[in-house]
Amino acid sequence: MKAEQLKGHLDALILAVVADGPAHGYAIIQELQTRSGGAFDLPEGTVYPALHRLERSGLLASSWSDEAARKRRVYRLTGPGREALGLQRRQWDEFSRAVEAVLEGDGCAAQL
Amino acid sequence: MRGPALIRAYRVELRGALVDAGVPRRLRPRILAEVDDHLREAVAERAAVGEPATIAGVRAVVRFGEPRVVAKRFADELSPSLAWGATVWTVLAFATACLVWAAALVPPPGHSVPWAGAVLQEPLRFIGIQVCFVVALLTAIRALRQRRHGVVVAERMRFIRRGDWVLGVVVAALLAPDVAGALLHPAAAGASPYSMALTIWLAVAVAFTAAALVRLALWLPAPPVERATGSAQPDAEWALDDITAAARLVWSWSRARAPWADPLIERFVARAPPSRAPPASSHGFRRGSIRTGCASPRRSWSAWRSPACTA
Repeated sequence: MKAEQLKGHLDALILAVVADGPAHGYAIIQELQTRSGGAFDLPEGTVYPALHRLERSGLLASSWSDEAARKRRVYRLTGPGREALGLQRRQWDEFSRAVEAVLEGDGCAAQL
Repeated sequence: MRGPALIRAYRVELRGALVDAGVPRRLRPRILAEVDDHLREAVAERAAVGEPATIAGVRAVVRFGEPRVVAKRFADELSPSLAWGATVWTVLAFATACLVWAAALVPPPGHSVPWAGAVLQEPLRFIGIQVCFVVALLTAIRALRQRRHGVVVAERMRFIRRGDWVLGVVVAALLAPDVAGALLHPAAAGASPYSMALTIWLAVAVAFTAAALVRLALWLPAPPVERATGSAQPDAEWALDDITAAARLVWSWSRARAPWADPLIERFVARAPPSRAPPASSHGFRRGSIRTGCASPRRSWSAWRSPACTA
């Protein structure tokens, strides 16, 4: 799947990954690939700017961790981030139901 | 070039790209540290499954993305929040310039600066305040327009941020004569109510607005890399955008109050050329990367991307 197709969804995907527990950038990218079955094969360098933006907007928090051999930045979900994730999940559910209904030709379901 | 050396080369190139893209200095060490950690982790993981270190390094670096693209992405993603800071500073500059302008209209009683530095100071005060007033107004319009768009083009953000470092230089330049005067003639410095306190006030205000001046009016030629990749836009067009926006504001305000002004403003707005899309990217590599061939021992990481090197 190309990066362009993920535009607009990357935030929700990152928040969903971090919701399971604090993680550093590399682990987040690996988890994205694993959970998507390899479909989300993003240029890895494009995920970090999104992490920084989410942190600046208060949805993620980060700190340096010395647990590994190297110093690394660990991201965790904040309260507003959890709320934003819930909202994006609901929006995605509505959107995917509507798209599915349209693609399958069932107009009544789309109105729901 | 083995894995760690390749990562170092990538780091160096990314650092340059971050500077070119206008990512603030305070954010760069963290970005570079994260990238470094990521690449080392990737190389270690690949090496653990038996890949040679060099190949692992090349693959990790290629998967991460070209430094110029990564840096541009950082600049684009961070620009909205940086634009908010720029807006605050601009509004501060504008407010300060207004206050100073009002204060400057009232001459202080018994104003006399008994030393030679005044010859330089007075024109600076007089001209600087007026220029800064107008410029701060235009800059405020620009910053507010960028906020409205939500996403700020990274090139514009860098253009705005270039003014920040000028602040310190201007403050130093304007304060230096008075500080020197106070040191050389302590009695004279205390004798004039206009000497130190107001000079500091004026210097800060002029510095604020001089930063705004740079933010708006630094129509410097784009760096060569951007010219080569076609990502730079004509700067003059941006200025025209602002002036046109200001004219549109005046137009909408004046329509009800001064219908006679409509034809004049309309003619001015119509003169603005339509926005031009930037030309397509040409090669996407820094000049140094092109010159360094695959056979060179001092090649940059980009050279590894060529099929001849990775095959």
